[in-house]
This record gives sequence, C-alpha cells and structure tokens, in this order.
Amino acid sequence: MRKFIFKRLISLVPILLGISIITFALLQLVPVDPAEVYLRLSQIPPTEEAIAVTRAELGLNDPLHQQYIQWVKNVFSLDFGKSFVTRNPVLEELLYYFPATIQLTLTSLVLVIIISIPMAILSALYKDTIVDNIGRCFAFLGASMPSFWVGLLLMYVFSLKFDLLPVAGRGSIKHLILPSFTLALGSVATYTRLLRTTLLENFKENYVLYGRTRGLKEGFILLRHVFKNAILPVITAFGMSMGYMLAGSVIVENVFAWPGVGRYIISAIFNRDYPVIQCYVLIMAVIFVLLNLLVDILYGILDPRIRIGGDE
Amino acid sequence: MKNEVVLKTDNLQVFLPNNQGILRAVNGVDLEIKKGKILGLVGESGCGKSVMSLSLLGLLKNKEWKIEGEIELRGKNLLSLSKEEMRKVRGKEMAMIMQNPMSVFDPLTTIGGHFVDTIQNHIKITTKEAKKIALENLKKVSLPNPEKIMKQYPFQLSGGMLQRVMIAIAIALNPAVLIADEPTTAVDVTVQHQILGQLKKLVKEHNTGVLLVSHDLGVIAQMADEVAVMYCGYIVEKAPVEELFRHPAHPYTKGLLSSRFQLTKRRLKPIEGQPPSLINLSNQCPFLERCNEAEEICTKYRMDEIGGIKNHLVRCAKYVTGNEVMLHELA
Repeated sequence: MRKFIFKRLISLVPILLGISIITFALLQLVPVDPAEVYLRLSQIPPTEEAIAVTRAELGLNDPLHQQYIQWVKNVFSLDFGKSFVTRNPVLEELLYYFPATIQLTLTSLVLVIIISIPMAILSALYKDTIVDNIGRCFAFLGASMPSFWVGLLLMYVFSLKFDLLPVAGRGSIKHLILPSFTLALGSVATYTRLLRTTLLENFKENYVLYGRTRGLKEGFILLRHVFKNAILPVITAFGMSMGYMLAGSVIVENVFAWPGVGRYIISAIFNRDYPVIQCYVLIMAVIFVLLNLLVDILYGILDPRIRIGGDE
Repeated sequence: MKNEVVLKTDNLQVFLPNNQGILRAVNGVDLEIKKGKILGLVGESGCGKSVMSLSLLGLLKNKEWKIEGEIELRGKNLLSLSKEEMRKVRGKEMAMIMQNPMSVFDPLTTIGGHFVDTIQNHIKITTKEAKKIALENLKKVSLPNPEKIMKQYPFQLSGGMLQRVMIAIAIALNPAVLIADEPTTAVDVTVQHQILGQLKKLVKEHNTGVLLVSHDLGVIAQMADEVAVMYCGYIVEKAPVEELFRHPAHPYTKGLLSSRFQLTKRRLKPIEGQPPSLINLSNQCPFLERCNEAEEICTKYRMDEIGGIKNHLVRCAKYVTGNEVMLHELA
C-alpha cells in the first residue's frame, strides 16, 4: 500500500509542473499588458513612460524562462504577488475567503453522500416501482435545472413565501441550507442514477448467486458485496466532481451572496486582477489534483486488484 | 443406516409460464440422494440440469418459475419453508459448488472473508473461531499454505485453487447434501482429476450426499455411484454407474455413450438432430425425432410410464412394464 501511494505521489510531479507552466502562461497570453492594467487600477494614466517603468518594476522585461523561474520561486515561498486592486498579498486575500467556500462545498458533499446513497439503494431494490420513478423524476429535474435557477426557486419558496430560511448571506446553519442544497442537487441527481445502475449491474454478478447458495442474508449480500463493488466506479466519478463542485460554487455563491472565493474571483475577473486570477487557478488546479490523488488512494484501499495487482 | 436418503424429490416439476407458452424445464423428476453416495446427473446443455439444481436450493433467478411436487431434505419439505428458513438451509444443510470458480467469488473480499461470512451467517461464533474452521477445511482440500490463502483475494488464485476453496467452503458447515454443478468444467484436465478425487474422498469421509451435475460422462464414470440421465427435463434412465455404462438401455443414453471419445473407435458418433424446444413440451417421448430405434409403439408412449427393473429405470416405450424381459436380454 505504501508503495502504491508513493508511486501516485511521484506521478504528481510532472502534473504539478505542467499546471505551473500553464498558470504562468495565462498571464502571458492575456491580450492586455498587465502593466497597463496595473496602472489603470492604480488611477495612474498609462503613459508610455509609466508603462515602461512599471514593466521594469514588475520584471516583465526579463526573458520568459527567467520570469517563470522567479515566479515559481515566489510561489514556493507562498508569494503570489499583490492584488492590483487592494494592494494586499493575493494569498492572504484568497485564504480569507476560502473557509466560507470550503464550508459550503463540504456541506454539499455530505448532502450528496447522505441523499444519493440511500436513494440509489432504494431505486435499485425497488426497480421500476413508484420509488424508482420518483427517484427518476427527481434525478431528471436535478440534472436538467441549472443551479442559479434552482437557487432562485428555493429562495423564492423557502425564504420569500414561507419565510423559513434566510435569503442570502453567511451566518448560522440556517444560512447554509439553501446554498449547499442548491450546489448538491446536480451531483445528487447524477450519483443517484449512476449508483443505481452499478448496483443493478452488480446484482446480476455471479457472486450474488454464490452468496445466496451459501445462505448469506440478503442485506448482508447487498452491503458487504454488491454495494462495495458498485461504489467503486462511483468514487472515481465523484473525485472528478468534487473539483467541479468547488468550481460550481462560483455561481451558487453569487446567487446567495455567499462570501466565498467564488464571489471574490468574479470581481477579480471583472477587474482583470491578474495575480488573483493566477493564484486562484493554481490553487484550484492543485486542489483538483490532490482530490484525484485522494480518490486514487481510496480506490486502492477498496480494490485489492489495484493495490496488490500493481506490485506483482 | 448406510443407504439413508438425505434428499428426495418426488414428481418434481419446474416450469416457467411466459407469453409463448409454458417452458417445462424439469418434468416429474424422482431422485434420491443417499448419505455418502454420489448421484450423477448427466445431460446435454439446456436439458434442465442447472434449473433443477437451483430449484433444489430455492434459488431460481426469475420469480415467475413455478415448482410443483416435493423436495424433501431429511424429512423436511423444502417447498413449504419460508424464505428465511430456506436461507438457513442453504450453505448449512445443503451447499453448492458452482461452475466457473473464477467468476463466482467477490473480487473485493478475501478468501478468509468468504469463509467467515458463510460461517457467521449460520452460526454464532467469533471471527477467530470461524477462521479456525476455515483453516481446517482449507487443509482438507490440500491447498499449500492455507494461512496465506486466507489473506489472499480471489484474483490472486488460479481457477483450480479457487475450485478447491469453494469445495472447502461448501463442506465447512458439514452439510448433508452437496450440489456440484459442473464443478470442474472450468479447470484443466489434470487439475480436474485431482479435484474430483479429493471431492470424492471428502464426501465419503463426511458422509455427504452429493448431486453431481455434469455433461461429462468421464467425470460421472469416475465419481458417481448412481447415474440419472436427463433429457428435456425428464430422467430418461437411472441406474447404478456400472450397470448404466455396461448396459445402457435408453437409446439416448446409448447415443451419449457412443458419442464419447474412445481410442478403439475411429470416429465419434454424435446424436443427430437437436432436442425439441422445452416450451409447451407434450408428454410424448421427446427423443422420438432423433431416436434411431423408434418404432410404431413409440408414438403411443407417454413419458409418465416408467419401465425397467428394480434399480434400473428407463423411460422408453420398449421397456415399459410387460417388456421387462428386453432389458434382461440386453444385459
């Protein structure tokens, strides 16, 4: 197992290298001169002279590879530069907004797990009955409605009509309910259907019949054998979508005025605050990669064929 | 005591009504499995052997299957049991060895896990004690290094090893009856021989009654004490193994025997034609179309007439009561 994790860690090195190059290149590819943006945001008229001075100051005249190396060095010392707008260190600002986003995403994640697993099991056990059909409708709605629309609908019903939950903002647990549910809905729909399918496929496997010939209890076969086998492909997909949830939080945060990174990054994009965007992209990419690593390891723990098979 | 019957079926009928008619897979089967004896069930694929063995365990996949007649396990009528009572019978009183050992184990559970699950679903003991039982049984099928195997996963073992493990699991709770459905079709011939030898030794030691389902006459000849030949869900002939191989009476049995590979023969003689569809099967002789001994009387014959002598029963027009002499003549 240790060897397996080590191998996975090694494979991260080239990926992270690639990410850093792409993130760095982002700044080079933008059609506007960062120096000009910097000056405009600082309320300084971008004259040619001023631009030249700023370019020198920001090190934009050095050859690209030198700039890259300098940038990587800075990144390693956690220096992502300063926001053009607020003049504060970028990382500090992002870290200030991150906890709210993490809270929202994790809550949604928990919701996805506790809603979709029982729903999938029920739909699979009572295939083609009313239970399954309700699940199907729910999944269809959940998958086809965009989150900003769901968010507004929920807000209208629960906050305005019945006045049960706060409209927007962050504070108590009550504030968390609507945004996290909105964020979870799409994934709940997807995973309920996916897990239902893999469960049904696994019910057809020979090991189910073999389990029955050995007199195992039905519930035991379901949990110990079928569920374990069925959840594997779902975990892979889940790892991918955790990243999408982080990204998807941008929309939900804006709808519910949730003070997270998503809202912050939107304003950074409108302001062309490049250091912020760059740092955000890098952090998101690293989180994405780490989540996938986590999923790989989890997969290895669950599936002996991956864990042991690779070593032999 | 020695010939005590442990599992008995009486006029067992298994059929599946569907939109094209009624699929009759098992037709009026009377079998007796005796303590410590192996009853071989031979027949072509699709003749109802597997449906029959699954119906004994109450495990037919499609819930539409109907079972009539009687299945009696040590005096207990299995068809009257509740689902939960039937579950308790499976694995403990009646165990099964399945074909394709490579695909029946749960890939995510260790061999030890399979053992412990099986044992703990039937008797209340600690995992440690269950493991001890598992080890003892793994030793019985002479697998090398049983401690290591307990911790291994199915994909790490070969088909032959898995088949032995399956036998070990099947006998772990000392069942009265063991149903072996094509136990060695998936492993190669040398391993097959060893496994069968071991299986035979074990069931004799444990006094287990066995229903050995196979299409392989070689396996049957090596293993069985008594043989039942199945055709279209009917037992067309039933006799002690030597009697059957020496003096086959039913034309179908003769056909099966002559389609076997033998060194003295240059050519194999296959049975011509295909068995009829099991849907809406009448009780006329289903072998009539393919039979090379068919005569006028065969068209009037009905399958519920059983002929032959005391322990050699034949479902064929030529051996019905009154014609017993013929069997002796053949013998």
